[in-house]
Amino acid sequence: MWVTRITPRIIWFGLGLQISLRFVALILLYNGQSSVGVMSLDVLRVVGSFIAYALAFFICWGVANEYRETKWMRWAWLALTMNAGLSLLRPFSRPMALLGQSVDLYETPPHYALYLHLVMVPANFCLLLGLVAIWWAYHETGLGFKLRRRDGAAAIVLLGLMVLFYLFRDLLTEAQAVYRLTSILQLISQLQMFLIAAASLLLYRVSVQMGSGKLAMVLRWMTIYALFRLAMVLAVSLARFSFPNQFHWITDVAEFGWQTAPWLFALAVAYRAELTAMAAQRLAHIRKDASALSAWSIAQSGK
Amino acid sequence: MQHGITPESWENYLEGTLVPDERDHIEAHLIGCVSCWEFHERLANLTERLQADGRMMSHRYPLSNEALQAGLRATYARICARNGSAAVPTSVQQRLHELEAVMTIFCGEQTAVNALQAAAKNSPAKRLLHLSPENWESFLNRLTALAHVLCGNTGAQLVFESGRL
Repeated sequence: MWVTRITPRIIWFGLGLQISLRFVALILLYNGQSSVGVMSLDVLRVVGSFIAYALAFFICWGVANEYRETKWMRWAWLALTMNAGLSLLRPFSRPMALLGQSVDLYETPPHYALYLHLVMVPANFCLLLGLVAIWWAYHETGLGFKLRRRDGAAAIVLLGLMVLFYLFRDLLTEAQAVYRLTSILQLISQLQMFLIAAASLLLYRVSVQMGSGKLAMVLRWMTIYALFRLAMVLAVSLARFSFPNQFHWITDVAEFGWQTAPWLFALAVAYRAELTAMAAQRLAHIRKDASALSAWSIAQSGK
Repeated sequence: MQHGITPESWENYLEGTLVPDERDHIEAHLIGCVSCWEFHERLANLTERLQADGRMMSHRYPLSNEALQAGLRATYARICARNGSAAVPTSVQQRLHELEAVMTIFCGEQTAVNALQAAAKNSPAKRLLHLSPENWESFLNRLTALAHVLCGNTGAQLVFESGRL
């Protein structure tokens, strides 16, 4: 599986590079280098997110092939592959400086916003499906992965937050969108985030019951990714509510988070690919040792 | 014996305990004999790997030799007492430990133990203590099926090959 060459270290490097370069571009923008700053910020947004999702797409596809004999896990990783594939289209949901288009960092034209949410809703659905399918596959093994009361309590808290969020839906960026469909789709995609977070808590429970091991680490990173996105949704909504006149500043800071999210997903799946790489390495060792032992037996029989 | 070098000489040579004359003889031979050189390389790698695994296990379970021996004796006695006269054969025990160590790396100690127990329960052995070379294959197949879900195809292959008697 060639995707095992995409190691978590490469993903960390990509994330670090994108965040550092974005920071530099933002400094340029705030120091009056407006055209260079805007151009750099937009290029970084498009290229960085595209690379992160592309890496995640190939890894998920490779991992799905690892599960040819297990139905639920295969479906889960195919769903995650589709999530990454659909998300590949997300960076193009604004006019692009790379194509010579006029870029506004703080406003998304109505038809672009509609396009973004038309992509996001099915992508989130696939992500939700993937996480639930992974949990179900583990649950079905009968290895004692069971939910606890505190998981129910966490789900209730999330449900409460979801209801609260629904009541304050006017705070969403597209609440007053030109197209009514954009507002509806954005609301759906944000509500999906709560369900994704709840599903990620199921995986977190499995990881706790596993204790240590590479797989527990993968599940923890998936949980971090899902909760991070939900935390971003909540934090941005709260910031917009608390500081209604600081829209540009909130967007500039929030973009760091939004551009980190694809790398977190790539990181979670890269740790899974690393598990396969480790297994392959140990398998090669075992085969080598077996050949050494057989050579030893031949030498002894010749004695 | 191959090319006048006995298995004991190889072993002592790798451990660095061979007398100087014999060591010089082997080294002179290795320069000119490709097959012995390859055999030496394979054996050296295997020895190194066994030592590394041994070090890893002793780091994971930091016990004094006395405590380790006492613990093993007590565990063995308990197993024998619980299981009547039948004790798990040594080769099966070694494989079980190997499988547990492999699975622990991927899915944690608790899941590894649970997987071994579940595979035994669904095999003719019914319990880990009743595993024998006769019912081992069925147990290993069930464990491999679980490993397919937990670790994917490569992980399952690793479990299968680690568990072969």
